[in-house]
Amino acid sequence: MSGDVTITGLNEVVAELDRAVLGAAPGAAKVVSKGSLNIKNAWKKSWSGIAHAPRIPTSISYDMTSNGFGISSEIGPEDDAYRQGFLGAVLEFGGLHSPPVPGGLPALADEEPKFLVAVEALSKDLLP
Amino acid sequence: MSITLDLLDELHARTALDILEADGLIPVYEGGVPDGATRPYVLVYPTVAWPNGRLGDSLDGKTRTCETRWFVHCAGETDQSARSVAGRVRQLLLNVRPTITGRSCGLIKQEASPPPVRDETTGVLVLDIAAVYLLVTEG
Repeated sequence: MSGDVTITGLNEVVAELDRAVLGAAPGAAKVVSKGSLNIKNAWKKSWSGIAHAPRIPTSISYDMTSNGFGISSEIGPEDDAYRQGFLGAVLEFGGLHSPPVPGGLPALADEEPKFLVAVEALSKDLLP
Repeated sequence: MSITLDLLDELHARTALDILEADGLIPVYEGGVPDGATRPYVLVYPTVAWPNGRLGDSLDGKTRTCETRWFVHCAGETDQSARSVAGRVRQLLLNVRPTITGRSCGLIKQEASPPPVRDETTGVLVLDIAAVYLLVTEG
């Protein structure tokens, strides 16, 4: 059996989606920035008061980048001797002689559901 | 006064340790390496957490999600040896769906794999390849 199917209004849908994508950038940047800030702050809190690395919370920062297709953020300790960021990997993952003090992984996991809710809200605002 | 022990955390923490120990090929240590341990070996630091606000939590606000992480350090004499151990660990853990009574278990996933570390703190070179494995259960 065969038949013809005519779809009307598809160009309008495509135009709306294009408009939504173009309009998403400022809102998406805010969502990613807020999420990054939350992760950074939670991570700093986890690593506060460590006796042998008292300055390491100050090494945690984030950098956002955009390539035209998406916005990403890199969050973590900067490799800095004074602020002790070089200790970040051994603190986060532990080593053969010291247990981990995870700060980044739980902070990321805590933020994920809130981030998804924010992205969903952004999508609803963009589509008519 | 009596204390009733809840073994649920222990069951979660032991899941990957039991899998690795059952393999029997490589010594597995939890929390620290005894003096005199020879490479290769696997060192595991388990953490069990019951975080708030996960997607699997119920509408009444009760925490239902348990996140178990195993920080696995694979120690070898050489890069290749450590990689072999890390590969064996991955074969044993990755994408396994364990069984814990009363819990709905997800698949064990690899959450992070930091760069290898050359550890010479004891005067003997040990190559350490670490990975973090994550199991999420709900119930």
